[in-house]
Amino acid sequence: MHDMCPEDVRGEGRAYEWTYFDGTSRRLLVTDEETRFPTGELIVSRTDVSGVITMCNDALVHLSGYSREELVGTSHAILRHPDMPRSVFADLWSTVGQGTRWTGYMKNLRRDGGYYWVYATVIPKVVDGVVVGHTSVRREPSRAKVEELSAVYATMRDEEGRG
Amino acid sequence: MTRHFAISPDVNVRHVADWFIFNTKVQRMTGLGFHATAYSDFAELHEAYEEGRADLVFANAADTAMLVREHGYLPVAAAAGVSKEAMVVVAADGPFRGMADLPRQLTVASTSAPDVERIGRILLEPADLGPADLTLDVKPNPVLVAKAVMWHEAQAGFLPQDAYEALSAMVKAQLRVLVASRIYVVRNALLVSPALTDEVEAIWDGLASMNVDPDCAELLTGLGAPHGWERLTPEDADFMIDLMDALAQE
Ligand SMILES: Cc1cc2nc3c(=O)[nH]c(=O)nc-3n(C[C@H](O)[C@H](O)[C@H](O)COP(=O)(O)O)c2cc1C
Repeated sequence: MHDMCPEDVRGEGRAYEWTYFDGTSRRLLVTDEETRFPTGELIVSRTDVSGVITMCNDALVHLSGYSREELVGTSHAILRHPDMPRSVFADLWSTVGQGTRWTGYMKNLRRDGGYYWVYATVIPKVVDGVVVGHTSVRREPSRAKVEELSAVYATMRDEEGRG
Repeated sequence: MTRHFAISPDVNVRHVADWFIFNTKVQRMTGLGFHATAYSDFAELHEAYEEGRADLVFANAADTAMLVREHGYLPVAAAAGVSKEAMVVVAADGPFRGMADLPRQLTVASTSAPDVERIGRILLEPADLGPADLTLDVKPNPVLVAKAVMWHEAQAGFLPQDAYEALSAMVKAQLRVLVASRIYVVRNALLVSPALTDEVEAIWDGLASMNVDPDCAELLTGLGAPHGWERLTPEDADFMIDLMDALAQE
């Protein structure tokens, strides 16, 4: 994944040197600009077993700000926002790894440094007893849940030892 | 052996006759005979699936998912550029002007079309209304869903967009659309049973010839395919099926 560059970011972004689960790292630029999930739309994407995007719909392209070419073939972690606690993703992966669906709220990072909240379902695709990939559907979250989860995630992040 | 063409109750009821004309054309084009049945009830349609009375099927997305995954049906075509969208409606003269006005418990009139119901439920989630907060009042068809809402028998209704658009201006004036989906990937599909695997190409060729036949233009519009048919690839169908699976809330 490429570093985020100031030309793409709207406004002054806070810089993070972010290290992903697989050990790779990337420079993030993060702003407080929220984009609301468009009412009535759904984001659908599919990944291989490891979380590399294989297919997505136009709604993901529009909301994330990345082109389809930038998304397909890239880890879904390209959308990872530093405000998300690690344990949320650990829970996601352990749930789908057992072949069961996961649902939860996520704050995602846009290409322009801003963010958007989603309510997400991830379901593993199981063929002959083996997980071969995953599908995720995201929709508009309730604002009450977004408020609640923002606070919960902040506490979880503190407990994970980062501010 | 009689082959059967099963037409889902989702198709616009005003155009059922067009589906019989379509069936005649398909028979002429492919040399395959089908006995067509337009179901007005999902339970009867599902019985036909179980009993093998569905060799050619025009099915909604949820049934497409089930037939392809569990019974090995093959996708053939879908109406080009047409997707299945749903909306949540309330009475125009009622107390709900926006999503924020909806109460914590809601009675919703709906048909038993599972794809419309799944989308409708998703549309209500942002208002913090989950599965346990909704009581569904199942009606036999979309017109009766609209009436139940107008007459305040139900607080809201789930309608497929095409059915809403087909309502009379007088009925529409008594409804307020609170929210409508824009999903684009959920579609009704024409499928064949695994026994007809060898005929998929012949059937597709027949459909493609309808697309270019000026005499078929009116028929195609009646069938809900004003831009003709387009091939529904196994990959497209698979994507839609995964989406339907993800939306099914167990
Ligand atoms: C189908 C699927 C969809 C995912 N969608 C997202 C997403 O929208 N945003 C996100 O941050 N992580 C998403 N993830 C999780 C990422 O793969 C990744 O685990 C996460 O971003 C944390 O990054 P890290 O594991 O490298 O620390 C998704 C995973 C799967 C399997």
